[in-house]
Amino acid sequence: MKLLKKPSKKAVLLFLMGASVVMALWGAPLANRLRVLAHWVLAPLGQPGMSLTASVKSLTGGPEEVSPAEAGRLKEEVDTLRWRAQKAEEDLAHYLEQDALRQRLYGKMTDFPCEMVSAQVAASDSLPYGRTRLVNKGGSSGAEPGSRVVTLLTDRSKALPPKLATISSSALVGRLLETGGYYARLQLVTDGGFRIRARIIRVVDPNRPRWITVIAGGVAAQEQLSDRNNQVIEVEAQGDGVDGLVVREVKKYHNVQNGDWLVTAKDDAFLPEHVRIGRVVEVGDDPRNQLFSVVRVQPYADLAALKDVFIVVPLASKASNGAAGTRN
Amino acid sequence: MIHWLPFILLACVLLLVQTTVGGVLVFTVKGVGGVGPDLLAILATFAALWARNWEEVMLAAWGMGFALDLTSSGGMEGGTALGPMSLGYAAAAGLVFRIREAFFRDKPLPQAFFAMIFCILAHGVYLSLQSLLAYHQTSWSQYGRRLLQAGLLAIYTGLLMVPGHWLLAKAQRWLVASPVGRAGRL
Repeated sequence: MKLLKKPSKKAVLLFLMGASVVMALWGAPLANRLRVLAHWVLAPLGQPGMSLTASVKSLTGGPEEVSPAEAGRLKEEVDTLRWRAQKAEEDLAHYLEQDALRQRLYGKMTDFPCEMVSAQVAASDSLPYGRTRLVNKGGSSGAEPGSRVVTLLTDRSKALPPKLATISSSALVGRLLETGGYYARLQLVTDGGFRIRARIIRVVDPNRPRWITVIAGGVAAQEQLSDRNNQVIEVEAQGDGVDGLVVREVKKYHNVQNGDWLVTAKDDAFLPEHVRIGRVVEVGDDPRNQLFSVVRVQPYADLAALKDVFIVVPLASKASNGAAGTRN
Repeated sequence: MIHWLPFILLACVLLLVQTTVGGVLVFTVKGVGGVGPDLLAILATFAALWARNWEEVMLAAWGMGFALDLTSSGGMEGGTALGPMSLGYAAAAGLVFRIREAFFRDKPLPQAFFAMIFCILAHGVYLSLQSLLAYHQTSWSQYGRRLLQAGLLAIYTGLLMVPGHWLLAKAQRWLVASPVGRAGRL
């Protein structure tokens, strides 16, 4: 009977402290499993609060103020673009109608080889050192750790043409860190632990010509950047833990400049498509090697006001999971 | 003595607020990162200031630290480890309990000071252990930046401790029984 005696508070405290040490040494694998259990409690209760936060942040986190003259110019530009968009929409509707007919009659169906699972942000990190969000879709929807998560940036008041157009107007917001049955933890692109193989696409602007070094047949030559010699630059990007991404070891002769794009690599197993990540906002010297530059990238999506996201589930992986499930 | 049921309920509500609408209170300092208050630290400091039993204080703090560990995983490539924040919280609560008699803890300024000390210690332990556990992906500059972030968080939480303590004192009889201290009042 003495064995069943209620343990003292001191003993419980010592046990818990010991458990903390063991869990800390065990590391992320155990932590991620236990955190999945916490999702069940946090996610259903957190969604209304996150909607409120996203709304407030989208109001306060707007673009920088512009001068009246600039505002007038932008308004004119917006009107012109709106008119052009309307024209383009009409042309596109006509083209799509024609194309649908052609596809039905002769075509083989081709599409973006992924399923976009829509999800909502239910909670954020409890501590400010990480940049993660809890989303309300998980393994049951086909999502798995590593799955890429994008957000759509289109105007939802307008009817959207089928999948291809929606993909072209999306931006990467992060990847899934851990997934439970119905919830998953999304690591934002700005998180200090986020890393991705990506590509820099230089913008060819006739008003702002730039010179790059092109190496052909072992011979280096200076050429003006054009569509002909504008090759994508393979890089590895990582979150800076604050509000952007950093790309190191970018060769200086590529002459990357502000305004260039960082996009996902098309050969990424989790996202086999070019999707925008962000825009280059600063190019500086690499203090460790004078031949390289350090590039800072600002994410294209407004991560502070993130509410609706899409988990990209490659159809091939879904099919193989389904097959594995059937086998089991 | 801590009244566990209302105490745990309040801790859960604060955690929910911190992970959802608490985002409104977070602002970004250029080059440092997001700075927001640690609402659970306010409750833990309150318990450490007024509870009679040090073991109960540390147990309550351990639980709150563990809840924070469970609901935060960003910052490292594969996610952070569980445990460092529960250790940090328990240690910080133990320290505040030990030194509380040296100050006029019923006055706002010492209360803010205690909350700052609590946050600096708890978050300092958390960041140091996480960086140590993932030393291959943490640089000294990153570690320093996060410590600065923790310092700003501590100041922010310290400022919020004054109204926070005032509110908690109103509900004191449901949270901490038999308060101790000068004339047994809050």
